[in-house]
Amino acid sequence: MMVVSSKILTCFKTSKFGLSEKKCSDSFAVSADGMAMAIADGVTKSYFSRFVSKPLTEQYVTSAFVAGELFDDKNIIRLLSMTRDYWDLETREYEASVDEDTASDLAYQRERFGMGASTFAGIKITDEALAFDVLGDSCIFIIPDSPEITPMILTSMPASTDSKQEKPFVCNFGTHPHFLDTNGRMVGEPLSGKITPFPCTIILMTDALADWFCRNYTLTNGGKLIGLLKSIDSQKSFNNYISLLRDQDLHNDDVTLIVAEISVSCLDFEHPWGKNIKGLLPSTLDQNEETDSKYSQNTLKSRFLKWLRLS
Amino acid sequence: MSYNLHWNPKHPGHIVYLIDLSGSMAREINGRRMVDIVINDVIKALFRALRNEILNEDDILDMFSITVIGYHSDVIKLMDTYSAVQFNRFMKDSLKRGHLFNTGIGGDAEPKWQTYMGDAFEAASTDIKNWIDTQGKKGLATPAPVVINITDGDPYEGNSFAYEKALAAANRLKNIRTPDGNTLLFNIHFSPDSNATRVVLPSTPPQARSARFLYEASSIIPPSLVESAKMVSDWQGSVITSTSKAMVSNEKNTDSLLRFIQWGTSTGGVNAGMENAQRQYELPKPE
Repeated sequence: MMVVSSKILTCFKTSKFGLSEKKCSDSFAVSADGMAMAIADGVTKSYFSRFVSKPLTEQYVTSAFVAGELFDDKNIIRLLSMTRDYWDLETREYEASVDEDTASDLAYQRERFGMGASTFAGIKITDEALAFDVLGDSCIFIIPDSPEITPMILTSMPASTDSKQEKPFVCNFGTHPHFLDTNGRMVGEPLSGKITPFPCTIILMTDALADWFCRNYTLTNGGKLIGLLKSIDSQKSFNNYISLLRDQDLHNDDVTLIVAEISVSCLDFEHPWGKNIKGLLPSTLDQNEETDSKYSQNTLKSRFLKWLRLS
Repeated sequence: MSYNLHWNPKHPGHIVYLIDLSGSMAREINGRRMVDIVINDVIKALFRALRNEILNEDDILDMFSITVIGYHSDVIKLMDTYSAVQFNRFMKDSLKRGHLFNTGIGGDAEPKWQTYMGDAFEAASTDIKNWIDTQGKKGLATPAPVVINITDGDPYEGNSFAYEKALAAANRLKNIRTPDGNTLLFNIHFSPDSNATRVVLPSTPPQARSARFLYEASSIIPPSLVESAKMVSDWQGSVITSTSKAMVSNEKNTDSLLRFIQWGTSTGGVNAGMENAQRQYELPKPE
């Protein structure tokens, strides 16, 4: 039996240039044991989206929401209800605290948007599985320690991996993101599932950084880039790094990053999918061709549909 | 020239809207004057979208500045390089005023007289040079400025068309450059009562004189807008390439007009739209 452990190396967020840190609409949460982590990106064109992203991530890592099945109808209604209640309370309190002129700006935004909205990406790690739930352009990258295994990008937006290309990750987030909102809507088709654990680095990034990562991660410099991300050990160095990237080609947006190292303590570790698995792993489960039908998205979904339940 | 510098508080962009206020803009289409369709429908919808871009809770993101120039035989600055904060104030006050710009008799935006489009291009040039100078003094990088011209006709002065004068002014405007790129000039010919065929983002000069003038006066669309233009369903029949010109002539539909202006405005990464397949849940009431 494998024993899987997770070590959180980097976990930071920062707001878009021009806004104070407390206005950052991204949120992240990590469980005390480091085995559950989530990020969420509040949708810009929605009302007080930080009051949506925050409860989403915190509920995911602390409550009984079970990974890999977060978006089934029963779970999502409960999650959205809790999120809506939190958002409603926080926004009303905030509105009551501002002056009249500001209140008119807020009233305009409330009327205009009518809801708060957020993307979501979360992953929970157990000895049996890396179970994930993603909606929108927040991404989970899984970079295997072994070069024999194809890296993965998990997002519900169009994305793919081709390990034969120098730039293996391709993503296209477009202008119509997937999200959850406080009106009880789930926009877009989420991606959920689980994979058998193997030694790897798991990276969670909100869209701007994920897009930058896809454009800048190459087979040649990938190891160095991952090493750099792992070495960010303070909020100050994170802010400096993001500022540097913004002077280059990072889109000005809120940014969140979590980096975790996954270890599998098994002396003769051999991935259960076999030794010669290069090219068989799905680049994203969403777009997996039936090259390995055993692990296609539909199979995964049906296989684990009843596996996880709210306690 | 990359046109990659996104508009944001680190390096805000600048956009100039030129609105034709010549006498023909007073003609009625289905009971409404052209000028009211353009300003009270299209520009208002656009400005609401832009306001949504800059408002972030109780903060205002300094993403861009805006100038609005109306033109007939004179040139009128309806909005003079408003910062995001000023723009938000303008929008709030417009509720009290009851209009964005006063298109009534005696108002700043009343349609009348002829179409001195060349003078409007010159006014835009002056405005943009001033903006570049100001940003330079602040030590800010300057994204390529954008100019969007909305007209219902041709440049006309005195007793004749003034294509050459207007074209020369447009070329001077397009030659104003920043390290990010030359000024981008988009031209829109809005004519709901026209029977002529619409021409969208052509790569070769149209035959009709009016459309050919707009073709010559317009910029080549920046690389970042080529793909987004291909996604616009209204333009699916058009062949859009990296050599397409930023123009549409004989546009008859108000929604399409707005879409074109929004698309041009998105040069600096300003965007709108949250449409997708969705599931709607009936959530239980809060406890």
